[in-house]
Amino acid sequence: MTEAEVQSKTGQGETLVDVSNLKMHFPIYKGLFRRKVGDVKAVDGVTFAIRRGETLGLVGESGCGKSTTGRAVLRLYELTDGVISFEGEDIAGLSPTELRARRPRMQMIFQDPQACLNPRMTVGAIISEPLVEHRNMTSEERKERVRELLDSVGMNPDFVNRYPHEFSGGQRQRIGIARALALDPDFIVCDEPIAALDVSIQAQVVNLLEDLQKERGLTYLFISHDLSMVRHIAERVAVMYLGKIMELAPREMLFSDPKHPYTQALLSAVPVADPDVEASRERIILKGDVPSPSNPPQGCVFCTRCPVAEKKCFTETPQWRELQPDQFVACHLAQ
Amino acid sequence: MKSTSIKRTNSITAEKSPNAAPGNVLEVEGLQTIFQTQDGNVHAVNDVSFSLEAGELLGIVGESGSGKSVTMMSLLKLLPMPPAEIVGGSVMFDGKDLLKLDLDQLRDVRGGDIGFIFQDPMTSLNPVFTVGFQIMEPLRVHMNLNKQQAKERAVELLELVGIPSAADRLRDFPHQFSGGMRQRVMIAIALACDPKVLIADEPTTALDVTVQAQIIEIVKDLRQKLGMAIVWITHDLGVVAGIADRVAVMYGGQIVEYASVDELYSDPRHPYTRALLQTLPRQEGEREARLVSIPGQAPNLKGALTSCPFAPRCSESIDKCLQANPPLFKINDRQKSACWLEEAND
Repeated sequence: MTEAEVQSKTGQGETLVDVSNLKMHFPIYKGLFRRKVGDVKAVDGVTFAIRRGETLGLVGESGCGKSTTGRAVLRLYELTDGVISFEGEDIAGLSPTELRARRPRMQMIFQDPQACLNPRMTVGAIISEPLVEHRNMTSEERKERVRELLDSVGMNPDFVNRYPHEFSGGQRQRIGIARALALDPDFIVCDEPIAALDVSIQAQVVNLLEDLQKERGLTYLFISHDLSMVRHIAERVAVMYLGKIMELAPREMLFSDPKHPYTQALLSAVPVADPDVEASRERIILKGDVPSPSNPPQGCVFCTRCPVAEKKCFTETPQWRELQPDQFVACHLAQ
Repeated sequence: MKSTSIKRTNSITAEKSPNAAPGNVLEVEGLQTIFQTQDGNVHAVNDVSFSLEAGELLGIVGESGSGKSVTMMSLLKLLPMPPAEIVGGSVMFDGKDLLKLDLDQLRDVRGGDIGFIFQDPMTSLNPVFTVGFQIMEPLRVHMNLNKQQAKERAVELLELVGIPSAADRLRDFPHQFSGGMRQRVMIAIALACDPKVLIADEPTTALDVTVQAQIIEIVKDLRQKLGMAIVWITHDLGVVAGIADRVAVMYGGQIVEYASVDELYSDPRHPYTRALLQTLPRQEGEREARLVSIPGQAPNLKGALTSCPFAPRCSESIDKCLQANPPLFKINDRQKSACWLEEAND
């Protein structure tokens, strides 16, 4: 792809994915007759937009609903409520056939490179599977394409006939990335793509993702719990807690001047690889655990652990408001 | 900085036993562990030596497969044997060589004088016994407490690690606790018999950062109160920076750098340590245009090491690196590095 083509594909900051009031509730069934007794509110009304060519980081602790959000955005679930528009078209209500036609445009990279590759398929078969499904290609063309893809993720094209177990974690993740790229997507959801990798390999994979983004004008939703990696890769960052986005801001703003008390606590909890900094910094230690998403607290979902919560926080749900241009926060007290 | 960390260590030692001379509670010398497999022996731990002073916190850092957990498991023979076999070395604890003890004697040490916290709080508690039972078990076995005494001590322990309404929670089963709470229970069990040495194998890896911060606070606090020596295994250089007095960096089944925490971060001498510190994205200031990555992969440990295990990935390697495995060269009193480039400084 030439530079000009990438430019045109990238557009100028136009919105590619627009998610509004997304809700994903999972029913809980109990008792002899499996009656529905409640909902796990995994994602409970999130709103955000992803611009063409950018990387939006989505961070939060385990169980906060970040992976569910990622999957819901690709419509891997039937949504409870909300609108997801992809290039201006609402995909939340599309039928399976209509959706299938749009699948090549959006892909996913999974967390566990061990589990997301079929151990009985060769690397060539794994990467060409999307081509078989969505493209009219002869087997010769497919082979050529697979070699091209392997090369573009930094692997030897002669590995096509090997099986996943013959590769290390980092290499398997590259195979997963090659598969996601097979259909030339615009948008890729990266669900903790580096969480299962060693520190020295993480940097390799992140660099690869960045290179591919530059070459192909890709748009990423990068889900991770590693805040320092998100700070590196994402242009804007959303912080999730208990199914809701607490704060969404450009990288510099979020990391240098976090507005939401949860973001502040989260950032202060990240260990820094420098003994001097570690000895001098003040940590905000949150008390207790994350409440159950099937029974979230009244008012602000963070009120039970918030160090600065006021009376109002326990009764009124905070509005999602724009504090400064581009900086959104859901907190009564943030200014 | 260095002086404060030493002071910290000494003050704890002094608090516990004002008259005892500062000495090593644990001395590991030339430890070697192999795994026998059909494709030959895997040399998981190669000639590892370290010592642990009373009240000290030693951080062991390394990537997966670097041999850090196997080293610690070898100390107490917690590995399945066969396929594992400890082929050499000594582990001196309390005047005894732990490797020469028989199983009965070893059982007295395990969970008694040496406590162990395992990585995964989900799988290391028994799901069919109450938490109370599991905390009281070592108390009754090692300390010969009766049921009532054990119960009182168990409540004390749970309060110590910050579990609210401890007395009621003794009757709960592990599944009724969250991940962070379960790890606290694991810590309580490890602390039950007032161990002299606590070995923590990636105690916070499975936890979220905010919970990790809670657990680290608890361990810092307990060190002040109880003054035991701790070995903290982790792959997170950030965690070690905040809590350790000394750090051993492992690669390819051996210690490649062994230094006090300030030296390690301000002046890392082994190329692997340097590379590892550089791969971390910065948390403050300008974002780097591109992350530094270490090319290649961790070594395959089949067969004994005949060259520096890091040489194929090292940007500074010289011919000698491929010909012989470097020993730990002493750079100064506080820092050792296993790199041929440091030979002249030895």
